[in-house]
Amino acid sequence: MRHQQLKETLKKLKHYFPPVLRRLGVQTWRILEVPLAAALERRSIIDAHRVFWPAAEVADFDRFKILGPTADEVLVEVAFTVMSPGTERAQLLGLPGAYEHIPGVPYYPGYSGSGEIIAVGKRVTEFQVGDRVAGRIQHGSPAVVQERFLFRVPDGVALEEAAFTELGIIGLQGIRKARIRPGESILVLGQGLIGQLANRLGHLDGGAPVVAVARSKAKAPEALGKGGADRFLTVEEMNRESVGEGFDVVIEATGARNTLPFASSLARAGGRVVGLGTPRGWGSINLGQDDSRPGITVIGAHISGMPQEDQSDGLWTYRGEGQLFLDLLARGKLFLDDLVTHRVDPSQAGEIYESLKAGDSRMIGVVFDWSDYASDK
Amino acid sequence: MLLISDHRTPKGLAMKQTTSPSFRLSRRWFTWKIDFEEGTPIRTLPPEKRLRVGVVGGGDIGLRNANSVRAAPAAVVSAVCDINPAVLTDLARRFKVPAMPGYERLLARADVDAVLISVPHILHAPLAIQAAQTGKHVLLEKPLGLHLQDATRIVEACHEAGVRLTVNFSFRYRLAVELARQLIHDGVLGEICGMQIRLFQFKGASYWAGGYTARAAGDWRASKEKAGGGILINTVCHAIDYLRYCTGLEVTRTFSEYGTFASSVEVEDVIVVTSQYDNGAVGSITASSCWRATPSDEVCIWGTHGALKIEENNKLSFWSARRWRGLSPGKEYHLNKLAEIDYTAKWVQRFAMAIADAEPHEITGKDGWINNAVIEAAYRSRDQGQVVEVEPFPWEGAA
Repeated sequence: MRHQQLKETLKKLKHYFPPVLRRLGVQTWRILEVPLAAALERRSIIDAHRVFWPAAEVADFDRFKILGPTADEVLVEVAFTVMSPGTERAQLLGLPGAYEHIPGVPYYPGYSGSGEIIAVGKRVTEFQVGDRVAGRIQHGSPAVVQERFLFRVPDGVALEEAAFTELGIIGLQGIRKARIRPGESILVLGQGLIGQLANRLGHLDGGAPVVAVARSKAKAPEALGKGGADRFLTVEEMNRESVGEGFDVVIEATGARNTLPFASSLARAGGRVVGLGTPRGWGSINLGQDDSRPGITVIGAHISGMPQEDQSDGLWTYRGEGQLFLDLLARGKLFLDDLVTHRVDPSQAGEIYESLKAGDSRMIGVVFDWSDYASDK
Repeated sequence: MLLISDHRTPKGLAMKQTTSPSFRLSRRWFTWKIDFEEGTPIRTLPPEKRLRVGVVGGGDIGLRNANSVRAAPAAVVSAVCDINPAVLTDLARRFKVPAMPGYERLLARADVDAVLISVPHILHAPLAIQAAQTGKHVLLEKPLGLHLQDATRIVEACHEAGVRLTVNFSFRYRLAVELARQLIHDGVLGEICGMQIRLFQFKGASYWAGGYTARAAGDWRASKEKAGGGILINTVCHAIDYLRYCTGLEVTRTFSEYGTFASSVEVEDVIVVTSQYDNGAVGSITASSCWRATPSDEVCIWGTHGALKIEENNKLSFWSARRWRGLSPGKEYHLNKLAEIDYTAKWVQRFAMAIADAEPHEITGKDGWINNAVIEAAYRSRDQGQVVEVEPFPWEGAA
């Protein structure tokens, strides 16, 4: 990684220069970075189309020169990528709890996709050219991906569904941390993509009933879709009767701020409250004083809390969850096709991120279709 | 050698880019991408079909306007008129046309189809109404009227006589303004939410006593009664008009403060106006004719998705979150070398062509009337010490 070292050194040095020279340097670096790195690390230069954010709250699509794969990486001709609405919206708008508070620009979003391998690095053993794969892939094609973040897509699984793998892993690790037992009542708060996945995975885990809750009825059809929730309620419909004694497990998947007090008020005595994904400032509760019942357990369930190795009962590894997700799809236990509400050409990134920013209530699964940007084989 | 500067960014502070990268667009890019009339041939007419214009008033602006008539291929200066004999002789010599010492004699000429009136504001109404009543089309220097009452009389007289009326708001034809209109029309700014006009210049005693060159010296500009006001009605009226033209929005109400501080005149030399537009957008005007530093002239328009700035009337810069004609979003673009066209000639040309083609012309009495209405509301606001609603245009469809 000589190129990375050079980049870090230049970053440190740049503060010794006056702004004019610094700007000049940044611009020069933008032009020279790829050819320089390619020469230093003996990597190829590849033409790629990418969705990117050139400035705060702005999305665009363009053609770039990117570095080819290193020895541990593969080059994937991407078929589909899935937008992760909560995280990408938070990053685009710089909301608290986003992975980086305000990502530096230009920023290349996206982390879930699928495609076919067109080149492999020297040390890659698991994959060959022509393999269908899914995993942590940015919105761009072709994409350079580390071998360890990819999974082989089983026969019979469509690439569009496989593109959800990384988001499926986020859902699975959260459900696993909830340790759902057959017959436990589950309430899923928030019906975005992560909430919808939680409905279905909770159902598979034996949760009964699974109750989906959202602010409006806009997402009810998908929530009650294939293998989804048993009931759908709006937040307004939540009252003493619908809550009753409270739920065994409350899964908070809204991605909104300060939802912990409300979520915990819905759990039964001794129940579990799971914060699935990345909470944007979860709020606080005063145990014994607020609405929550005694003995609740609050569980954080972020993907970063997964073990590298040593898979255990409640904590599977990244690879374990990814394989499982694709197996569930292959064995017909889990359906995703009805969750795709928007299929868009990546050149429409500007418009689709504009509606994401505005908070389109019909937006669940947004899939970028990269078939028009396939390179000539 | 390392350059050690004071500008070292403290560690721990965000090193994120806070300003947009900025790009100069060349004039070639501009003419290649935007198809404005600059690149298309200007139509001309056979000599017998050209609009024959009688030039009324030959002061600084009158002379410039007359030159623009000569520059417009579809129009021709056919006679000139001024009450000042020296100016009249000069005009006739420059344009080699008959000199008419009396306005009635000019209007009586059969070879005058239209009059171009560039006279003190107080004379706009009497001269324009007289021209309309003798069946001549009227090209009037801005503002349309000394005040709204005069503007109303002019519009009514032209409508009754069935002649055409246009006002010299030709800044609309400057390329920066045309481009701004195009950008706004294409949704580059999104929904407009704010507008700002800033105009700072210096007009000294010599200007108030004799205009720019004193070729037709007169102190009417300093008189509230004869000029109607100072920098707002004299100069800012252009920006008020082209903001309307670019955005299609109308001012609904205004509040203003003004005063006279550094000039020995009756009219204002500093004015601040705030406005609300019919879509809810808000705007402001800050203008002064006693600003002694480098003059500045800047119009900013911004919306939900972008912002643009017109500087010195013919420089344009913009930023948008949306892609436009192949330009990436999230960057600031500067067009500093826009061609300066003879926009007054273009105004005359378009008016003459509209008459020849029997089509509606572009800058109408309605545009002039609304301009007067906004300015009047602004002056009244300070005089009455309250927010004033702008009067709506009363005769839809009238010229």
